[in-house]
Amino acid sequence: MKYWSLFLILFGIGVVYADCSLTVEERSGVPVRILKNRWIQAEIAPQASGSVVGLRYLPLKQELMAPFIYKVEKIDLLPDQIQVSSGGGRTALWGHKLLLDQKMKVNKEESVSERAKLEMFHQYYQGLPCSFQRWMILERDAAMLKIGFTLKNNGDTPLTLRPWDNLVMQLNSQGRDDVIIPTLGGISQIGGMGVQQVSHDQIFIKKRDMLTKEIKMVAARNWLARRNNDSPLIFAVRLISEPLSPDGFFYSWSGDGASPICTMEVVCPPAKLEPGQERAYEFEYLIFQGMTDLKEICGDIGINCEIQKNRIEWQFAVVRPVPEQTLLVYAGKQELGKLNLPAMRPGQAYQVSLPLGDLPKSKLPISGKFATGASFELLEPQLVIEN
Amino acid sequence: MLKSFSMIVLGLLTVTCSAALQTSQLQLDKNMTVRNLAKKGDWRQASLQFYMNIGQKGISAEMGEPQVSEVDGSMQLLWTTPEYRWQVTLSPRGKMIEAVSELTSLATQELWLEPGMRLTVAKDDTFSRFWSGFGHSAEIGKEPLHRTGIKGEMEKHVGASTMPFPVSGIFGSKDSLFIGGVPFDPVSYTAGSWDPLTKLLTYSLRVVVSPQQTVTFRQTLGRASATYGAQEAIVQQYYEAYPECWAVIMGQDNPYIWGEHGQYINWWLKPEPELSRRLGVTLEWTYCPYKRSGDMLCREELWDYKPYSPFRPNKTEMGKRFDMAKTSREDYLRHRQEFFRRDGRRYGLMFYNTTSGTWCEINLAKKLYPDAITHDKDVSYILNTWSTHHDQEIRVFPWQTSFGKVFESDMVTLTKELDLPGFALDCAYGGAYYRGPAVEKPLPGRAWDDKGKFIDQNVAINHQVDFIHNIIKEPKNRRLSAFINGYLKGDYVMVEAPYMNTGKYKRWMPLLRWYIGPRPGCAHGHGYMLKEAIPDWHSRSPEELRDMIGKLSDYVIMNQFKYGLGTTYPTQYGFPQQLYIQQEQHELMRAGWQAEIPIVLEDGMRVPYLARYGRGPNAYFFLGNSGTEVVKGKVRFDNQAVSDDGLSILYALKMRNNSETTNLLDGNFTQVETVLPSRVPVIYEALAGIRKPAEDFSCEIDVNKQLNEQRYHLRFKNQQTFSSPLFVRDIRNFQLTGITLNGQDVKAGVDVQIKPNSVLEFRYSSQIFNNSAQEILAFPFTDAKNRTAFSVQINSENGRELAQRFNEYFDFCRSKELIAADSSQVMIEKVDKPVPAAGVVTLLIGEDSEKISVTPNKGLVITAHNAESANLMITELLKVMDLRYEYVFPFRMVSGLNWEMIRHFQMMNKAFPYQKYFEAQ
Repeated sequence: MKYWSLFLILFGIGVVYADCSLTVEERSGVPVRILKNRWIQAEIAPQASGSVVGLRYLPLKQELMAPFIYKVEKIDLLPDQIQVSSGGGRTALWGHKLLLDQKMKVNKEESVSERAKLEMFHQYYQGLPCSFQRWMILERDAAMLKIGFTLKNNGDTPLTLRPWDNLVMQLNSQGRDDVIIPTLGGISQIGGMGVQQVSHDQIFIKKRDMLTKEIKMVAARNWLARRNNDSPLIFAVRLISEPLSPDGFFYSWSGDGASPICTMEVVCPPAKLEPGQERAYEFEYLIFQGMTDLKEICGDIGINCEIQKNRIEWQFAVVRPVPEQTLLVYAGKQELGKLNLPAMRPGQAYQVSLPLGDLPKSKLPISGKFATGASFELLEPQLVIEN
Repeated sequence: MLKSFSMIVLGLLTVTCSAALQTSQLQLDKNMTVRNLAKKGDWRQASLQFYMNIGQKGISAEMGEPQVSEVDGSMQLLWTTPEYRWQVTLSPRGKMIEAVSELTSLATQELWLEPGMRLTVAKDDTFSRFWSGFGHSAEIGKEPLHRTGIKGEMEKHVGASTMPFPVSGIFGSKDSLFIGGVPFDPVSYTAGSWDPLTKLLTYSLRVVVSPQQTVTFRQTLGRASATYGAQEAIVQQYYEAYPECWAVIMGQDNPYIWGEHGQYINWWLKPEPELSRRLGVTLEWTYCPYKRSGDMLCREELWDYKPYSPFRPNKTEMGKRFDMAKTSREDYLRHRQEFFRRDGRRYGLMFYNTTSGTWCEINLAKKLYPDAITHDKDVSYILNTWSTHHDQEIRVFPWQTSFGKVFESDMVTLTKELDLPGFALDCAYGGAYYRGPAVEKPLPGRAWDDKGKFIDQNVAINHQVDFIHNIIKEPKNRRLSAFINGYLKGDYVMVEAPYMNTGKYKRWMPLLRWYIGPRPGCAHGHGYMLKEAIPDWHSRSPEELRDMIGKLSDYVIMNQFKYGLGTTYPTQYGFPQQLYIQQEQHELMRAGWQAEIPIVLEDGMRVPYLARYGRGPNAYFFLGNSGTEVVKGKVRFDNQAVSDDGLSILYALKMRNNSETTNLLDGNFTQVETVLPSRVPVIYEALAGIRKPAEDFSCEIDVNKQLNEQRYHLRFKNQQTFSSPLFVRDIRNFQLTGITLNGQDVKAGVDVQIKPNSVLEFRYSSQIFNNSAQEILAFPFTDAKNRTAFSVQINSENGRELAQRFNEYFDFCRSKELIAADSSQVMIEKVDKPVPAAGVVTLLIGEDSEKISVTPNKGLVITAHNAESANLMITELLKVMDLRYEYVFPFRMVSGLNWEMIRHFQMMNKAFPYQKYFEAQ
């Protein structure tokens, strides 16, 4: 009895101080798993195809997804009619009707100080003869949700699947977000599909006043993001398990009129799975606070960059603590200077200015290399020096 | 903003109280007092006022009293101001009062006006709900309720919207009071409101009037019972007052609209005549029979262009594949012409007219039709890979614009070139405002708001349907039909969602159904949507799944009768029950779905599915028990609501052969004792109407139906003699051949004395068949070895193609192993003066009579006026032959049901059994 009490006390202390937790609560009449750390609260509904149905940025108490709705209606002659709100994030399969109400089996629930992890499974995901193992991890002190899944062909014929992170969310429920899409120029079609063609490689901004209802764009990077003038957050989705280019693409669809809905979706390259074959994917949902825009993501660091008259203004924000380090900045192959970056933590942006010396007339891409060895090259802005 | 520009002017009439206008529901006095003629209603009287909001320019002048005059049972009000002259003619229209306005500008500048009607009800009258015109109603509280504009909920990926029924109404538990407009009139903006504080109900519309222009518009005023649903009763009054709004071109004789929609079975695939006929398909949606959105003609100079997405290499039309990147214009057009000229009328191929002319390939629109672009940013404006699957399209306005001119001209050209039976109008929705240069023209339907003048897309599409109807005026049987996907004008309506899509039906109905009204239509889509309907189908045993999917089929059947709409082949293969019910479903659809279902069920009866079709002695009631247990009880049909003429209607259980039904005529009701088996549709059909005396009594009804004759035997159990005219039902393809009362001939519509225990009999004979089905089926179409054993003789060459239908019939039978594999083709021979003979079908075209008869020497003779009617008669004959050569379509892979699913529930090449529940055993 004594030991049992001691265990409870220690366990209680652990719960209070542990950075990560996994609990079960009810939302709209169904149990949802709640993964939580100091930055993010992610709500996952196994009964709704394992979707992320709630996402809260805790420092600002900001809800990033519309309230989850799950309704069951009984109609004579029909199986239970389940309606699930379309907000949130889930794995869909391009070209196949999206089923929002599949009941995923919870295989594993893990909650330790360093991380909370949930694993779910469905034998016939989206009504197809393929199993789907989906996991989510929230790590300690990370403003980032990791989402992974494995698809396995359980049928007796090959299956070609194109997984797709279908994500409906908003940074501000009052106005539509802009979607930040790194894209390649000069390409009008991929894989038999028309895509929005732009003249050159760039960060394309799908603004709220863009008149095309839905666009597909060729991926120049493995991430896309969203911003909103009325929110200090930038939210990004990144595919980390494989390159998106050349056959993957970004997709975004907007609601009509005043609707705030504007999706941001990463559509993976098609993958042919032979019977018995499986394939794993991994995505990240990243939240950067304090930046006004996003030009690149390098590891855990979000980068914004603006060229002023005689200098380059940098903004950095991170999804995990990053120790202080240096950043060498280049224009083309020419080194422009070295930035000393402080130790950075999620929850704020860090501004650094890099003066531009005398440079010859040129138009050059800007790139950088961190002391850790990680490097990046910006699609934009480009450094244009004119006499 | 608008408020500051506008003012309200009221035209109040002086009190010279006397009844000016009256309907069965309400009375309008000359002093504009509206009186409720129902003794116990939720309201007693209201004061009617006409008012005018003057927009934009801020013209303000008090209106004086109108000049009032009475003309031919109408009351005319006239106001004249320096800016305009407004004449309102009030007259009864059905159960409502109609106000027809002529608004003439006397000003030198354009007027932006909002004429309206408003009703002030007594302070102590209470209403519980306000109906703004959308599918729902709002509970009345302390706050005003209002609707402004006609944009409703966004629908479909093309971003058009639902549109309110043109009504503003308030109601309690007993009845309603409403004002409104007329559906499908060219109106782009309406508003309605109810203020519980001031007890004011309003309905207005906005118009733009050019100098010297006269704009006409219609408004309504009414009262309706709320006993069987307040909104339903109001809509019902519209069906009765404005039947022309829902009238279909060519009426009951339209050869295309009274059946099932092919859902591409005759467009993507090469049509198979017998397959199509046995599935009841009568028309088809020919999706995008052109290359470039907006260019239906496939003009030479527009043929080669760069699409947004790659052209499909396998665009399929009638089984022929086209690589649209490589196919030459000449080749494509040659095939298109061949397809439509050969099969257009046979299969009802409705030419898909580039999404009702509301979307056009973006570069084409920008280059040639920039004035037509509909710059409404509140709805979808540019769509990628939409209708043609390869174009980027922009919304355009197809009326009175450069595009509209070409669009209409193209439809005329195509009609001639392809001998079209009609057009298919996709996305026939309103909710997109055009504000381009054409709004400067003095067109009907112009409205205004704080962004300026506009015309809603609905005005253009409704105009388009009128235009299509008038492309061919003569001969009348060649007029063009409009197959629409939406809620606007048209002759056959597609609901683009299968019945299994309960979410969409919940969202769309009942508003969409009210708009469809008595018109025919169908549900289109992915059949059973099995993946969505039973997401865990993989985990179910075959037995479980068969049980579940059998229920889905019955769900579809129940909904077909509930909504009066057909279905398509994806729900029919493997489910012979679905094809079995077509005969009744089509008959009811022809009678016309009605909004109000005046039926009272005995306490405790659970009947989730109810519908009413037709009116008076031509009414039908459908009752569907979707539960697991038999439901029994008394069902009462409210005669006052079914019939305007004060008739008591007599009903029989609808069966194909025999039925016995006892009616109790009880007050204003006809009561039957019903038994509703689980999952079986039950139909009562009206047979006759009489003027019932004060005495309540019962009537025993025996019905006997044969292919060539129908007999109705009624025994009245009255105690006292009464006098009544007799009204009997109409039966399609039958004529009334006699009515007897106690053995004496009597005439329909004439008063007769009905003594106690009188027996009334009436008979109909078929206008097609002289013989019973047994006699026809005794004809030796095939011999003992199941080989074809007859020939066809024709009297003219234009009968040869028709005679080939017998070969098509038996080719199908042979391919389905219904007859012997070595059965030969039916021989067809032209004979100058054919003489009917045993084992010979004689087809005589150009005869005075139209009949199908078995001759004494066992020949079969078809006589017809012309080839067209002969064709219809052969179709009827083939239906009879189906009784002998029945084919049950097995499961096959269709939209919403794939091979894997069929294999999983072990129904490959099999079909479910079916019940002949409309036949007494």
